[in-house]
Amino acid sequence: MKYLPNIANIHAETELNLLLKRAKRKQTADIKEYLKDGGYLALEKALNMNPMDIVEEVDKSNLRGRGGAGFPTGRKWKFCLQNPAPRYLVCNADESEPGTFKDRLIIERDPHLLLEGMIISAYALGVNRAYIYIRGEYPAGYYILKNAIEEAKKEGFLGKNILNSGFDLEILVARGAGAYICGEETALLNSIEGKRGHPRLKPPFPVQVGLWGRPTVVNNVETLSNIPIIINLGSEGYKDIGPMDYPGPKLFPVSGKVKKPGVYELPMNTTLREVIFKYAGGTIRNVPIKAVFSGALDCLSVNELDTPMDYSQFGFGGTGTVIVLTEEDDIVEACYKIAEFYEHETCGFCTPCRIGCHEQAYLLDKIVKDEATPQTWEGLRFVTKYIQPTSVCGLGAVASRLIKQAMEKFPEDFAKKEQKSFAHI
Amino acid sequence: MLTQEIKDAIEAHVKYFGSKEEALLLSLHSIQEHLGHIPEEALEELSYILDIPLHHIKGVVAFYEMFDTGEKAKHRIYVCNSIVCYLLKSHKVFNAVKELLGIEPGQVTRDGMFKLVEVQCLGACSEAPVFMVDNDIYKYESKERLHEILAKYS
Repeated sequence: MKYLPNIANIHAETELNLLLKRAKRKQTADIKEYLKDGGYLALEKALNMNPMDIVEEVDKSNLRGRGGAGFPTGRKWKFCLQNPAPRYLVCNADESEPGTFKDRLIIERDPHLLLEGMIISAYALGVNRAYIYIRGEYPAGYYILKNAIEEAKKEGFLGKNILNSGFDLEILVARGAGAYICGEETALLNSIEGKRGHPRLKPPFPVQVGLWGRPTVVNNVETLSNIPIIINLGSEGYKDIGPMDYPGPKLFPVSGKVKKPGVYELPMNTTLREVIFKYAGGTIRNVPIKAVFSGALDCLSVNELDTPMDYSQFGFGGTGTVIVLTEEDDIVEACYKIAEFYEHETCGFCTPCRIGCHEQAYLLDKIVKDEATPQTWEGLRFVTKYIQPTSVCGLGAVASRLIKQAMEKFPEDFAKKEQKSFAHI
Repeated sequence: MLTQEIKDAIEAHVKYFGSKEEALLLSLHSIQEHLGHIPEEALEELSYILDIPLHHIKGVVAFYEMFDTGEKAKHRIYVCNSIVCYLLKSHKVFNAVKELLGIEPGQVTRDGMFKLVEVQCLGACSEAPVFMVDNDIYKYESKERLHEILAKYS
């Protein structure tokens, strides 16, 4: 290695010591350290299993995607296996959701956990060529992964005839260049193929027609990092972690106005209140909470702090992102920042999202600056209503979600602003 | 335009993926890293080397935010202005950079050393407000500390 960029100094704590066993320390665990902790034993065990048994085991474990949508991993794998080889496995490491920094932790500090998960998954899926697509903003992660792959090759965990099982696998690392949309799985595949990161129309789904037209499984970093844990514990043991319906360890990136921001590994029956007060130390100067944003997707009010951090209501089980806003923060202004994010990140492929996201930000900007007229408000209500049902991909589908929720849950804050608009008639 | 070093890097990317298309994004990263930006002539040469139409490459370069066809700069300062950094006062970072280097987002210092770039979430939100200088991520602590960090890159 000629040089390694510095890694983020993110605080991490764990109750479970599974995903963050090594990543809680602020340094990269090399292969020696990983092996000392019993690393790659799950791979040895898996290579002695029938690939279909691994798929069954993952399916029975109830593992669901940790990238946002929360699709059951075992089911996705089974869909893919219905289609003929060659198949591809792609790890989605394009974590770009505002307030989300959990995958970064695994990539930068415990890359071998991810690699082991990928090798086992590739074996189960009959894949011989796998990719990790990492966002351009994580250069350290890119070099760390490439280095870790070399380490794993030297030990015979990657390459030809892995551990004398006759199974071959190479993992390639592709790099993005600053586009949130590339976290959308079909846009990601286009990006690997050296194209603009535009989403593809679904169906066909990537498990049918994916990378270079072949069946492809796209899984998130944290999802794949759960695979060695499932193999080690067995699906029954894995289901003992946390609640029955949503088992397994979960990473929660907590940021905003809290005393101890960082990544917390907890079971999914933890409530939002516990995450903020028990783990993240409460709010800065104990100012009362105003709202919690889950990434740029959901807006929760103080009445919803007892929401469990699972997939049921707000999909915290997906990315698990918690951004805390206090009474000192202006909710309308925060909504403008979210609108600005979508305006910046809409890919321009479909018209409702391209125009709608721009319009939404433009109107909210006027509102924040007290330059709005009643027509501005009418426009905002119109545009937030129509981006979602008319857009091609998930980005357009959620572009107005948080803003609409905020308008419903904080009517008085918006009404105060709207009152001022009548002065401009 | 493309030095031997860059050509070698491109060749290595093609060999790594076994595919010219898959090597495109990393090749563009290599060009920007070596030249400090992506000039038009470089794209023509790249199109020739990778056998990919120039219009396709230009479309790709325009799409990805990190690829910079503008003015050349030795180092790039990426300052996050997404929701979390904004809540934790990212404007202080912009102000500090402006005071130290006299540049606003999108501008390059007169000596061509630094370019200031405003970006969306850098994914280190517990450290907010954060900024990146080339490949390194930092928490913004104070103007003095920023000055020390930037001095390392000169």
